[in-house]
Amino acid sequence: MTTTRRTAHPAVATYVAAVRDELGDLPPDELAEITEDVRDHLDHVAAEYGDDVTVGTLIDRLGAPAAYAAELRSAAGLPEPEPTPEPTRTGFVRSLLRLMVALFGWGAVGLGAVAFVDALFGLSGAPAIFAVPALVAAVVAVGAALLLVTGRDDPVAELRQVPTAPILAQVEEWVRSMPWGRPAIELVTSLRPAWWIARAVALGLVVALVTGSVPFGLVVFLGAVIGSVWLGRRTAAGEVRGRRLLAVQVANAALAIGGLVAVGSAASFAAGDHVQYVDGGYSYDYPGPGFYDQNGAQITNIFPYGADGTLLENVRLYDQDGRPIDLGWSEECYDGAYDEQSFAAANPWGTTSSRG
Amino acid sequence: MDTSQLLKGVLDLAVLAVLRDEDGYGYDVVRRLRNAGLTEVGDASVYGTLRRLYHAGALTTYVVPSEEGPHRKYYSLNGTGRDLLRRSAKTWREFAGVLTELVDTATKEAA
Repeated sequence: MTTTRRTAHPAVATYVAAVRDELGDLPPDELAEITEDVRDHLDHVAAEYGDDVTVGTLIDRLGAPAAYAAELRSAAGLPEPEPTPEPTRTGFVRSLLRLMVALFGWGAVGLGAVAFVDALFGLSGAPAIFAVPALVAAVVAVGAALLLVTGRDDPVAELRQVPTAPILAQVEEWVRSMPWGRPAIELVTSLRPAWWIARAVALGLVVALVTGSVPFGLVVFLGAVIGSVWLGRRTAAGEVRGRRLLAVQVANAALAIGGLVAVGSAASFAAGDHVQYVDGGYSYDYPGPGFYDQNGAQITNIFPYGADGTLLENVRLYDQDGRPIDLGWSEECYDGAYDEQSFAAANPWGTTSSRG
Repeated sequence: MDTSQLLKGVLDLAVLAVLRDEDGYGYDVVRRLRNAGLTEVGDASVYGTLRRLYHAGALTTYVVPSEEGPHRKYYSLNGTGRDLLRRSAKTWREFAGVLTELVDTATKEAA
């Protein structure tokens, strides 16, 4: 039926989309009919709350979309979804990929948190030692997740099979059951526009870093803000689904990682400058004992020449305080030049002496 | 005892009963059941039951378009539905009678 009808509330659209995903195995006609009926029903429920209705409200009232779908399936006598049969040859690879997603995903989260705390309080002085592995882990996790969902009809269901993935749902359930849970979730939800901006900032940073042009990055950022907010509003309203939603999420992950790399390289560049300055100061300010020429090379021996251009022997040199000059060289001073060395001394008195 | 477990078995009967005198749409049926005292009945269960009864041929549906709100899909009992309701009600009364007697007797003996 294609009558013109009021657009459903975004929360209703999101909830219905989630229920629809749960029932995705049903024949398309049946699914369309059920989706339409459920949307009508939810519109009535949402009308009780007026414009204040949120997905959280609907979940409190009706249960999670997955539970709603399961209840509907059971009461309507619909078949349970068939577990997608897996070719055994690729079964091992899939298990391995799932394990990698879980391991590297959590690794990235853990290391990222350590790097964040470290950077915040300056504990190690070099946050990169945690940030770089965190970044690598994140890249590996996203890569493995992409390989995992490539060619799958239901990417979300595939990702749910990742070990520890159900924990996330349990955590959400637990947070929701706490007295502070709903306000907290609503707060985070209300911060979504901030993420839309952050996403555009990340893109601008990456472009500025790659092209080396800050103004160009700024232009890209301004354009990206418009696109990001438009896309964010559509995603929030549940209008982006299935593969396209997955593409958006992959792009989000790529941008988050890209932004981190950009910020990380900028930070390490600044840190690198700093270290170089200290190094330079060290070599000039603390030259250690001994004598140095204007290039900083150590002088290890001194040969005095007389007015006739001959090497003076048995000469002792004293400093301005009358102390004998000690070259600070541990080796014994030779009376003449090193036997194995030869050099020509430019004689200050006009003649040149050459020794072999 | 968990009422929701009991409800599963008798939801067909309950839905048929609230539709006996007056047609209703999904949300309306949920409300009538709740008003009747079945507070734990789930929205999805009611919709699923309506859908199953419809496909079993016990209900017919018609849509009433609405200007301001969502359109309403009304469910009404047909002949098969009334027959099903009559038979289910008879089964329920017998079952409820037996169980009541059993529970009451057991309570007296325990007292």
